[in-house]
Amino acid sequence: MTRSFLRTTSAALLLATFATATFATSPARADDTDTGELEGLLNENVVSTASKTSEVGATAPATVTTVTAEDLRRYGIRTLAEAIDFLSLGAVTSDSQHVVDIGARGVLIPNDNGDHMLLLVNGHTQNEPLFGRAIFGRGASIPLEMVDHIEVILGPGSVLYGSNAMLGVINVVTKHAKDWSGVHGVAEVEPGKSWRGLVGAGVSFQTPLAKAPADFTVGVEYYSQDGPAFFYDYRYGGIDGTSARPYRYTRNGPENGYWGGVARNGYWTRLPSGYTRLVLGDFELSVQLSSFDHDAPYRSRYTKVFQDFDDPDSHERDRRIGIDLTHRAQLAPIAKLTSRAYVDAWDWLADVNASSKAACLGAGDSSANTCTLGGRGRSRWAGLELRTDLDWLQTERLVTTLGIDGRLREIKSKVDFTNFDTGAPLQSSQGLIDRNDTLIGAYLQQTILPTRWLSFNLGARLDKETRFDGVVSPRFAAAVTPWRGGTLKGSYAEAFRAPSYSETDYHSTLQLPVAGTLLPERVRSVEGSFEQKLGAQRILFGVFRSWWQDIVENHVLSVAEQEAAVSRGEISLATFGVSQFRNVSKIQNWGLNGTFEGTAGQEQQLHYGLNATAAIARRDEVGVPSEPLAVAPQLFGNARIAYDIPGDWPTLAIATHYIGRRPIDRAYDGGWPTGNYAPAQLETRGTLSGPLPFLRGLTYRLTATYALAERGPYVVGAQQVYEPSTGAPDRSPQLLPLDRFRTSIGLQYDFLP
Amino acid sequence: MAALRVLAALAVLAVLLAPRTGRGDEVAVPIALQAELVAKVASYDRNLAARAGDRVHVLIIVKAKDDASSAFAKHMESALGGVDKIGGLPHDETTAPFGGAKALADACRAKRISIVYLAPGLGDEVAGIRAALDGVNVLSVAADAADVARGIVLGFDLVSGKPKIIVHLGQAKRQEVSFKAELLKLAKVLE
Repeated sequence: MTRSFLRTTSAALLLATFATATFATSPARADDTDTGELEGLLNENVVSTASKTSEVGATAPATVTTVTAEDLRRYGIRTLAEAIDFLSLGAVTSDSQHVVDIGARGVLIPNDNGDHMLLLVNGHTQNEPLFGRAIFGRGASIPLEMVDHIEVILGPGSVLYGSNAMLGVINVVTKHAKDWSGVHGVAEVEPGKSWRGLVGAGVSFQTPLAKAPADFTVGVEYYSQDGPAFFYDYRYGGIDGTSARPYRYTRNGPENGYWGGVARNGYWTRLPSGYTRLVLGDFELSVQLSSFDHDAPYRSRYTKVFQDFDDPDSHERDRRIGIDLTHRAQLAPIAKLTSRAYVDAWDWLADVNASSKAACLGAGDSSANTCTLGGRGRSRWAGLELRTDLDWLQTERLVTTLGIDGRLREIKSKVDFTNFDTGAPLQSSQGLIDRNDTLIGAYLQQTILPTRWLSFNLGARLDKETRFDGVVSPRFAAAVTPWRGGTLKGSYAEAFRAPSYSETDYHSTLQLPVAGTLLPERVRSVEGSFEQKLGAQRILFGVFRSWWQDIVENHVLSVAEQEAAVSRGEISLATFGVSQFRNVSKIQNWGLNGTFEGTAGQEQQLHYGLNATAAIARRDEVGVPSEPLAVAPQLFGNARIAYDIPGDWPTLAIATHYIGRRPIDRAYDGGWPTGNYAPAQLETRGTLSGPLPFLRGLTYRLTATYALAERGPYVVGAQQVYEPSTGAPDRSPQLLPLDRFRTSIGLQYDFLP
Repeated sequence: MAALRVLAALAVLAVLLAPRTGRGDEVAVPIALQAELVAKVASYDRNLAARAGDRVHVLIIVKAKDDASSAFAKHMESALGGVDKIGGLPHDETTAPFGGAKALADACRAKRISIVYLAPGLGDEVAGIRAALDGVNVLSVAADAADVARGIVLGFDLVSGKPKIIVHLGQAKRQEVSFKAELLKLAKVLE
C-alpha cells in the first residue's frame, strides 16, 4: 500500500509541478494591475535557521516550512505539536498523553524525549543533557500568541547546531514589540477539560543607552488541565509473585488482579510559564521560565509499568529557566560578529506510586502498602558562542561563517524508593549520576553565489565532548533557479546525537552499565527538491534518502547474556528485565514529500495549503528481520483552507491532518497474536475567529476538533505483553484511548495605546 | 576548559571593543528580496514614468563612516543592478554619503532622482529628510521599516517570516508618489 501510494503521489506531484512550471515559463502578462508577481514576492518565506542568516526559504540549504502567527490563530492552533501536525511539511507528532513524540519523514523513535529533533526558541537550545529532552506538546511552554513564526527545517542540521539535529531543527521565533505592542490578555477554555490565561505586553521606548528604541516583549501564561475521563477496559494482570495473591493496582483497591475502569483523577497538567525579551541597542536579552507538572492515568512502558491506575499523586515535573544574551556588531564593512552567552537550569522530578507487593519488593520492602519511586534529575549548563560572518564582496555572494560554541555542563540524577504512607526510605538511592563535562563545537560555512541563478552552501562542524571523540557533521547544498520562480535544490548532510547521560551513565540493579563506549548516533541524508512559485501559489516536490546508524536502545538481555553478566559479577542473579543501553540498530529511510499552498482573492482572503509525506523507514539489527519502525507513520500530511471575510466578519477555517496506519509501540516485543497496528487517524478542526463588535480590541476564537480513530499506537495497562500463562485471555493489546471530540472558546483583548 | 576560557575572553573583548551602532536588529528582509520588491512596487507608482523619463535613477544614501550602512549600500547597489527593469524602465544606481537633508533634496531635483534609498544608520535624520523632501517628486525608501512611520514613503517589514510592504500615504502624496489601489490593498498603509 505504501509503495502504491508513493507511486501515485509521486506521479501526481510531478504532473502538478510540470504543469505549474510550464505555466510559469509562459510569457508574463503585461498588465500592471495583475498583482500575482508582487503577491509571490510577499509570500516568500524568509528564514534564518537553515544557515544562521536571513534568506529566502526557496534557496535555503534545506527544506523549510514556515508556520506564521496568522495561521496559528486562523486554524485554532494551541500547541507547538498542533502547529507541526496541522501546518508543517514532513514532521509529525504522536501524543501518548504522557509525552509527545516527534518524527519526520517516516522516522519516529517513541519515548525518545524529543532528543532526535533540535528545538530552539529564538535560537536558544531547549534540549537538555540528562535525557536530551525537548518538549513539543503543551509543555513547550511558549505562549503561542507571542510567536511570530515557526521554522521547521527538515533533515540533518548538526552542521551549525551540533547534537540532536538528526530529524531536523525547529526554531520558534517570537514577536518583536511592533507586532506585540500594547497590553494583551487571553482566556481560553476547553469546557470541562482545560483552561489557560495569558497576559502580555510589548513596548518600544527610547533610552539613553542606544539610538534605536528599546524593544521589550513579555508574556506570562498559566495552563491547567483536568481530564477528560477515559474508560480503560478491565484487564486481568495475573498473580503477584510476592504475595501469591492477584495484583493490586490502586492504593486502596482490592487485590483482584484487574487493572482498568474509569480514570477521572490521573490525567492532569499544571503549567505556569513565561517568556520575555529585551532588545537594547546591539544587545538582546531573553529569559524563559516554565514548570510543567503533569500526570497520565495509565501504566505503560513509557510511564512506568508498575504505576497505580488513575493515581493523581503520581506525576512528572520539568522546570526550566533559560537566559540568553546576544551582542551583534559590525566590525568592518565585510565583517559581522555575533557573541552569545547563555545559561540554563533544568530540573526534573518523577514520582511514581505502586501498590503491588512485587513492585514494593523491588523498591526494597514488600511490607509497604504503597511504595514510591522518586526520580530526580538536574542539569545546568552555561556557554558562549562566537560567530563571525565575512561578506567578502559585500554582496552576500561570497560569505564565510565561522563559529565556535563552548559549553560547561553539570548533570545529576538519582532514584529514591520510599514508603508512600510514611515517607521513609526503603533502600539507598540508585542510578546516581553526578557528572561535569565540557562540550566544544566549531563550525565553518561557505556560501557561494557565482551567478544570480546558482548558489552553493558548504559547511562542516566539529563537536567534541568529554565522553567521545570529535564528530564531524558536513553539509553540501546547491540551489539552481533556472527560470523565474522555479528552484531546484539538492543537498547532502550528516548529523549526530550525543547519547544522553541517562543512557551513558545510568545503572541500577536492573540496568547494567554501558559496556565500553556508547557511540553517538549518526545519520547521513541526501535529498532533492523542486519548487515552483506562480504568483501567490507555491508547489514543492521533494525526495529524500537517509541512513541512520548506531541507534541507541535499551537492550533487554537474553538469558545467555544475563548468565554471562552474573559470571562477571555485574548482577547478582539472572532476573527478568535486566537491560543495557547499546548501539543496537540502523534505520534505512527513503520517501517523498510535497507541498501546495497559496492565497487568492483581491486582498488575499482565501488561504489554502496541502502537505503530504510518504516514506519508508525500516529498522535493521543483526540477526533480526528488518521491520518498520514502531509508532512511526509512513503516510501522513495535512490540508487546510481558510477564508477571511472582509470587514468585521469572522474568519472561517478548516484544517485536517492524517496519520496512516502504523505499528504499535509493542508491535515487535509484545508478542500479541493480533492488534499490532494502530488505525489510521484523521483529525479535523474547524475554527471561527474574528473581532467582537461591542469592544474594540476584543476578539474571539471558537474551535471544534474531531478525531476519527478511537485509539492511539501505545499499549496501556497491566498487560504490556501477551502472557497467556498469567491466565489473561486477551489476545490483543489495549491501546491508548483518545479524546475524540474537543471544543474550545477563547477571548483575546489587545489594548493598543 | 582552557578553550572555554579563551572563548570567554574573546567574547568579552568582542563586546567591549566592537563599534557601537546602537541599532539593535539587523535588516530583517533580505536585501536581494528588498531590491526585487522595490522594483516591483515602483511599477505601481502612477507618476514614476513622468518622474523618471526614460531611465530610473536610484540614489542610495549612506551614513558616513558607518560600516553597516556602507555594507548595506554596496549590497543594495549590487542587488538592484541585477534587477532587469524598475517599473518597466532601465535604471542605474549611485551611492552617496548623507550630507544633510537640504543637500539631499537638492540632489534629487538636480539629478532627477526617481528613488532615494536610505541605508541603515540614518534614523536620526529621518525627520529632517521628511521635511526636506516635502514637495520633491521622489519615492523615498527606508531600509529600516520603522522609519516609514516617521515620514519615509516606503519600507519593507518582516511579519511572521514574510515581507510586508509599508506605505506612508500622506508623505507619498507630499512627494508626488501615487500608488495604485491594487498595491495599497496589499500594503500596510500609514497616514
